[in-house]
Amino acid sequence: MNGSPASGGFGAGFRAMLPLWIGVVPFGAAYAVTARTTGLDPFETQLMSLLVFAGGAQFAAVGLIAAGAGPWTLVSTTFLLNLRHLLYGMVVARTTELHGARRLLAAHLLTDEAFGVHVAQGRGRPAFLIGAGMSLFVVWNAATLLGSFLARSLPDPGAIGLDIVFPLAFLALLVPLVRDRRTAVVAGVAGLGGWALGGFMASGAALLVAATLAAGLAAALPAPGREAP
Amino acid sequence: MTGLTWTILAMAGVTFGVRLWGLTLPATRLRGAAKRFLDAVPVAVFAALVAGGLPGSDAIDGAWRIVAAAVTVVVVARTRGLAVGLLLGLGVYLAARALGWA
Repeated sequence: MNGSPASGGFGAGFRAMLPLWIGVVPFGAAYAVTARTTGLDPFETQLMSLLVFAGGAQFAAVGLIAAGAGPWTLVSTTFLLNLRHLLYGMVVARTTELHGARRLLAAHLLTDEAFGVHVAQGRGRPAFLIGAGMSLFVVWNAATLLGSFLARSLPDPGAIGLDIVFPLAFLALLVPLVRDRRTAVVAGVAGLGGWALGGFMASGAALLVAATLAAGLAAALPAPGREAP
Repeated sequence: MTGLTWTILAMAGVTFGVRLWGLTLPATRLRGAAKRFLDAVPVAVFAALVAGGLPGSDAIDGAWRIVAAAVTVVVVARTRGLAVGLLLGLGVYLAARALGWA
């Protein structure tokens, strides 16, 4: 993830995501194993990874299916868990010119991880965002395919410690952004909020509420000097 | 198509719709509180993602996860090498587990 200022667009974005593959592969496979165990066939398991392409929502959906939930519960839960992507799109749109087919493709590929590396290293390049998103899309779907056919013989990623990859990756993206007291307060409030709310809320919803509260606090605080447009 | 296939298509539709909605909003001309809000979103989101995923299964596991996080913070703060920081933090945690400490 050491994108140099001279690095290009799509390829740089694709490569920026490679360190995260260590965590994505076991989780993609674990999703497929869980889905197959729940009764989804390989087509349905893969279709969700191809079209929904949102790990947290996919795991939640499989859990709900196992619990006998109906279609409206599945769809509304997916909407709630993915509502945070609205914020991601708004942030990306401020710096990244996306039109037509590129905007549609970027919308399909916009995940937590692609948003993270794009904000940190993308410097407003549309191709970087699409490259980062495509990198995750390819490995997530390959891992789903692998998990579908190796179901029951793969270890739980949490049991072998690889679940720590994602928080460490987001921590690595966070550190350069905490530049002053204001950003430290925002990070602290969001972190405490995410941790506290995670105890009694789905992770995507907890993240949305905590991040919105912390960003709202930043909006309410006086501007740090003269604001750039 | 089965009922579940239709449900998956609807799940894909709401996910894509939310993502496209954000990309389509004219946020580039925002000022004042709205601008400060969006400026703070990356920091807030990353912090919430860390807090949601970092806690361990018990006190000892949690302590080693905090050690791994500290390694990542120090390495990234000193070198700006995101991948190096991630891999060293991961290495410390996996080594602690392999040695039976976590």
